[in-house]
Amino acid sequence: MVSQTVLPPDSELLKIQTAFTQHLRNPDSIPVPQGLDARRMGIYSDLIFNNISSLISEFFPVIFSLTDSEDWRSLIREFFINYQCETPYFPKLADEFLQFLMGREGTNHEPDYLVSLAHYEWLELCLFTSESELPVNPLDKAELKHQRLHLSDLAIPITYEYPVQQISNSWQYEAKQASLLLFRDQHDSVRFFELQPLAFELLTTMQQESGILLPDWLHQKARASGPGTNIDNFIKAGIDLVEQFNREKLIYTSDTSN
Amino acid sequence: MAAQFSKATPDEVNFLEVAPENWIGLGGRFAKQLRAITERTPLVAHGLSLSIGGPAPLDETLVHEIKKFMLLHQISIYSEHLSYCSDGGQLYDLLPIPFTEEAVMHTATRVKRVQDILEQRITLENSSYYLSPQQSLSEAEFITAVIAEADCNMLLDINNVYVNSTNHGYDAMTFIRQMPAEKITYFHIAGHYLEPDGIIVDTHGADVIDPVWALLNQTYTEIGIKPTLLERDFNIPAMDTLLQEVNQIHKAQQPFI
Ligand SMILES: [Fe+2]
Repeated sequence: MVSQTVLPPDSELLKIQTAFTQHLRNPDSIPVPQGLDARRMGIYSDLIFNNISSLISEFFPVIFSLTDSEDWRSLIREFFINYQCETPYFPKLADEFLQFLMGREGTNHEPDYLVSLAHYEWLELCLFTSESELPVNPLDKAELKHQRLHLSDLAIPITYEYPVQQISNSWQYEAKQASLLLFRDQHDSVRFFELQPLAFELLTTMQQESGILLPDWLHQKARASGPGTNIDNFIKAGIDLVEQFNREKLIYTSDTSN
Repeated sequence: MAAQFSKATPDEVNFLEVAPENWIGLGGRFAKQLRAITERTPLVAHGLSLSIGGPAPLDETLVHEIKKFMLLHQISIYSEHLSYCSDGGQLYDLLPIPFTEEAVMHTATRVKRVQDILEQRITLENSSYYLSPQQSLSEAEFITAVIAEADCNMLLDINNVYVNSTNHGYDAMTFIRQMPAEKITYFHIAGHYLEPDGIIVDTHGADVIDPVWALLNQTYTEIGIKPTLLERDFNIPAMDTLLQEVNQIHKAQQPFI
């Protein structure tokens, strides 16, 4: 016989626990369960609230620093009321908070870049905590030229609707797209490069399963960019750019011979 | 703290505790620090998210992940809090299981399931609690019933006994004498925060106070010495200061060795 590890719907225990946590999630609107002391119940609601608030502020330090404390508290309270976190893992709480932000309307006086910025801070954390590792050595010049190249999964090319990498207390608001390569470096710190459109296209193509043969890809792009283009210079600039990423060990090859 | 321990483990420290929910699936800098620590220092897995007495379905995936984590880091003890931390979703804090017969059976059934998956006994800690909803058993009755029914081990947190005995008005040593001594595998000791109105909150954010040291001594005298872990989660002082408290544990154990 398999013993039940789930409570039946008519369980008294289930009723007590549900009343308890429902108040903790929303103490201003849901009364303290009957027979329980409000002062002591307040200890629990404070502990729970402050714990989540401080974890989220560590995962989203820029958002935290830009949000006034009243707004921060109502945001965290809304998170408790409207969102059920699934993950048992603390670092993954950042995923849950991002999901929460993406699934809500937002209020009028919240900045319009909030979700973009949250995504950027989340992605930084993802790369910082990723289980992937960079290779020991970068590719050599011949490999860059002759082999099929791929982008490490510790490097993510991404375009945001706002220059999220600049947002801080001193930043002048500007709704201007930013294409970035966010990556984890050899010292396990997360950094970024700002990308021009062609670099962004190159890196996203490299992300695809087929990867690229660099000289072929650059040739094609040079020819497509019009008659005034000096093809040799164009290719050299492209290779220099990829070498910059290669120095960070962000490029690998799937070819085994050659 | 992990960064410091990854460089060297002080001689005074014989073992460390890690919360698997902070480390499972984690790579990068922190994972490297943990690996450096496990190469030198034995670890105990001290869980936070299992919600052993909770109303939501038992998270068996988590238990399987903990099993892998223990294998990877050669951890032989897994302890959790005799509490719950979830309803439909996680709340990430320790909530008081109602001290009722139904809760004893519910919790013990889930402990047995966890032990089946892990193929070993788990260790349950007496949690601090500020409220006891719909209480029909005493705290001591509840704890001893769960441990007997589930046939699991116990982690006795001396500070939690002090905190609970103050907050709920009972005698700490009488409580400790009621605990199943033969099932106790190790002790916790910690500091706490005294609210202006006299309620003590178990913060792990201050030095251990003298009455708690006295309680540890008395426990050693009556049920013998066991490995004892100093918990400190907030306001973490310099290593030297922490080690003074660790040394105080060693000193308390000295007469019994
Ligand atoms: Fe403890």
